[in-house]
Amino acid sequence: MSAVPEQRRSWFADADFELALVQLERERPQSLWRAARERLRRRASVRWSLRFLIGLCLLSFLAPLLPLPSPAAINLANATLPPQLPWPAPGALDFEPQYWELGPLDAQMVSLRTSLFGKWRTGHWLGTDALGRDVLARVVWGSRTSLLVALCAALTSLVIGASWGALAGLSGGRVDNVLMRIVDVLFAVPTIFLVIFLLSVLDAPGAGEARLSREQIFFLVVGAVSWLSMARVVRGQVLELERSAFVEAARAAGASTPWILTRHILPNVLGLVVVNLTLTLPSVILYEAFLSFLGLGVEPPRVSWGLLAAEGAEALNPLESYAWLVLAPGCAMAATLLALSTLGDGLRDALSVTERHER
Amino acid sequence: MSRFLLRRALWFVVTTWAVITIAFFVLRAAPGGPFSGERKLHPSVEAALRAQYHLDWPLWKQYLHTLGPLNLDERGLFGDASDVFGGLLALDFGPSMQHRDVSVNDALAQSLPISITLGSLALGIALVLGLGAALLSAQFPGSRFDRLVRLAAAAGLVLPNFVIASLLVLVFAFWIPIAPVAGWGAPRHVLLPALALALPFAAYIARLARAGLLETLSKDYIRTARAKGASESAILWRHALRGALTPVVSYLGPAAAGVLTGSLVIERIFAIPGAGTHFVASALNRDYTMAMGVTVVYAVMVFGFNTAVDVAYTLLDPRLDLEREA
Amino acid sequence: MSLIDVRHLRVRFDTERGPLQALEHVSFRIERGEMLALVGESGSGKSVCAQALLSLLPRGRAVVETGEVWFEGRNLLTLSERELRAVRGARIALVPQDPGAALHPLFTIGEQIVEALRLHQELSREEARELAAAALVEVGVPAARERLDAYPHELSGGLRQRALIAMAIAPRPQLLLADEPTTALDVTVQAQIMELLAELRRTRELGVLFITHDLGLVANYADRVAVMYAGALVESGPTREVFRAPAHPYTLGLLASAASLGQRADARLESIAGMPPDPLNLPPGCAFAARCAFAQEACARARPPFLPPMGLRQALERGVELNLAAERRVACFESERVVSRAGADS
Repeated sequence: MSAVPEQRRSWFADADFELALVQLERERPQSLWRAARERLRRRASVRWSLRFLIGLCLLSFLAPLLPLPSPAAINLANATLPPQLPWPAPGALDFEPQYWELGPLDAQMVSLRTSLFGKWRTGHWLGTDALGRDVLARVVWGSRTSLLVALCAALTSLVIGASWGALAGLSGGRVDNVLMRIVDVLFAVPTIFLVIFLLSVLDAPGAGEARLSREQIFFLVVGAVSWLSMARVVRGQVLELERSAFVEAARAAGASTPWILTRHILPNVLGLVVVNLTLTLPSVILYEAFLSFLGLGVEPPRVSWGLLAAEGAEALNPLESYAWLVLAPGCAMAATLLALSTLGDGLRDALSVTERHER
Repeated sequence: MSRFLLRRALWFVVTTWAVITIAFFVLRAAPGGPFSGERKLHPSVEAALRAQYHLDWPLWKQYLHTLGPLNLDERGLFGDASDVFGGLLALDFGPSMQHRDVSVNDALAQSLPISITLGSLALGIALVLGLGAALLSAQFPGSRFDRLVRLAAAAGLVLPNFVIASLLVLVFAFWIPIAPVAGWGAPRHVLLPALALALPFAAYIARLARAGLLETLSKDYIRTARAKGASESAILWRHALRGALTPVVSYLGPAAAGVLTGSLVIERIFAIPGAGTHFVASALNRDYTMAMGVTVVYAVMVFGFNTAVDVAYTLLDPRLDLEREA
Repeated sequence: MSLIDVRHLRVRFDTERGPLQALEHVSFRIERGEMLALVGESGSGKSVCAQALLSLLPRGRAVVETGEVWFEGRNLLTLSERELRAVRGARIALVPQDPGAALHPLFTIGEQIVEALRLHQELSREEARELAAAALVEVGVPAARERLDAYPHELSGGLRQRALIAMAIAPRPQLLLADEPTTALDVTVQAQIMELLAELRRTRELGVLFITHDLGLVANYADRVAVMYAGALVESGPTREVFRAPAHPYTLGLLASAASLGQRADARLESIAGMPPDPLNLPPGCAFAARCAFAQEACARARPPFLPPMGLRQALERGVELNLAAERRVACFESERVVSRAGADS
């Protein structure tokens, strides 16, 4: 007695009809990215996050061009002005370029700014700090550090982490064992403590003819610790794909290794890498804040969000709370991280990558 | 289980050794030393101090000396010169190089209980808050409370803990003065710092547990329980929570490490005399012995906690086999 | 009075792509001690039907549009959650399909059966354990006492399925909704389970809704059969009569594809051509029309009502023994031609 023939494309699965619909969609693998884009576009939160992040990057890159007050210009007469609504003065004509050492591109942008706007600058829309420096300008300039840290971590994650994991997953055997054991040990070592060591130590006052600036060391160190989870995630995914039915089928059909890599493995790993990236960036930005708070981040007069928030946190006192000094950088950070994680969540759902918990 | 623990013990030795070695060489490779501080010492005084702490020895000898209770002196490995400190194998970190009358062991014995109290309290708060919020929010998904929990969890994840701490201080110490701003000693002192330390982890746990609960609730075996006649609350608390707990437990390992790290910041904000304060100061001051002591203790705590979490994990999920995983 | 009387059950799922009619006017009865077999392709709505009886469908996504489910003098669809809980497991038990996923992976078999018992009866843990072990023995689990402490992943698929059956019958329900309870079992165990159910039907007057693909089991054990297609019943009646003279082309196709039940050894195995319709986009007329060899123009325009079939008398005249008084229902305009074809075949 044979059973009724099972229909592959069932009318709808009894257990979970939606699953069946999703599976129908998944039967067309080449449309993974197109389907993902469709699903992303439907989510308003993801659209707004993306717009916000693009806007932030532009703002941050073009900061020297904007008619903001100088972020380092001290004016004790204007100390701790609170933000006011409506703005008592939209701007003033007393701009003096006062910056730290700027790179050539930034210096050119500043001179372009002076020729564009002259001495005009915006008012202290977000108030001023204890030294009379404009909070808005400092927050905008501070975004550059935070974004640069994120960029740096993203690059090391991609370059070192992804290739380390892919190498381990693809070669397997002893190479895999050795590579992953190294990652295991590095994971077990409380990296944050080594980071503090490296930073405090490489940047000692007696460091002789300093080959690297403190910023460079800082970026290097933060990058160096952020690739571990990427290596693990990529290796796991590569291993899973290697064993998967469709790679086996391709191999059985006589496909060459490069073909399998580019056609089957790479596209499937890419989604995971992108998702992992958007979800680790927030933690890297928080990391910068943490290090800045401990006085191990960028050095004044340069600014970063972490540094600003830390200064604000220390300026709190029961008589005059100066809450805006914490709130302005805090909100900027919160909005950015929220946008990043919304984008990451959206991407994860759209590409239906399962969240793997990294330890 | 015993084989797993044995392997873990082996890993523990390897990891601790790696931590010690890296910390040792990074510290020594750093320019400056414990006596090149702000006030310049007379060269002869400095030389005497260096000799006292065996900093005049070759590096390999200093390294061995740090590692174990080897009675090293100028003549060789097993000399009988009076020792400055016993070495890590004897669990003796020696005297601090900055505060010469205090031994590292004493300093840690004083400050570590404070940090551990703060840390375990924070982890407890994070678990209770996170799981509680997740349970309520999974019971009524899409409700106003659920949306509130998701918003709060999102906020807790995107703010650095010192910003959370300063907001808490702003609200609960300045505007509604119910807690002291700083200090240590009375139970009320612990409230704000523990909360500030706990909130980001509570947020993550809430997110993790909520997702886990909702996923578990959609499983077939939940329908089986419902078909048996189990009530909704029994299903949530007995059937779903059990399944959702595993990711939360596995997160406790990283969370404990995170709490340790976070305590560096929180202890500073609230002027709490915990071990975290020693950590940054010793690294900056090149207090070799103190830095080594704090690093080793923190590494051991993280490792021990991770192992405990792994064991708890297998107790929760009978499908896992540690023997095979190890 | 029937044990359970289901009338005009309509269930709709709200999906992202629009409403999906999962059940369309489903009506049937089960008497005490009777077994009704519900057959049809996967996805035809059989499991949805079983779950709808106990209001186990995912809330918010599934909507019961119309219908009544009369059981022990009450309409189950109007009961409160608390009243329903007293019925679930205790009076009506469900044997879910897919034993791999239907058992909680983190509790032992014993804990899960004990829970089912203690939810409805005042029992000590030890008493419940005794009853659980007895239930496992009843479904033919060897070394039942040791299995109580086993986790589902430590058992084979067959044992898990039997544990699920034990869990369902342990609280002594009056009606069993068995959703493909024998698919993971080999033939001898299958027979054992079916005999057990037959025994329970005799001794406890247990009614069984038996959801299956296996027409052989239906022929041997079920008193009556109902055939489901695209969410609607297309034919129902006493098993013998339906199998002898199917009145719906879909039933005819099912029977033809099921190796002709030992009629002719050389009979060709047929399969039904074409695909089931898109559930989100059902045709206005008969859902089977596109695959049907008997279809006329009218079939595509209007949905045929579920009525006693025509042409049974003619079939009778050709010598097919049929009990005209028994409830036969079919949803087909061309049932007369189908019956005569079936009669000619046999």
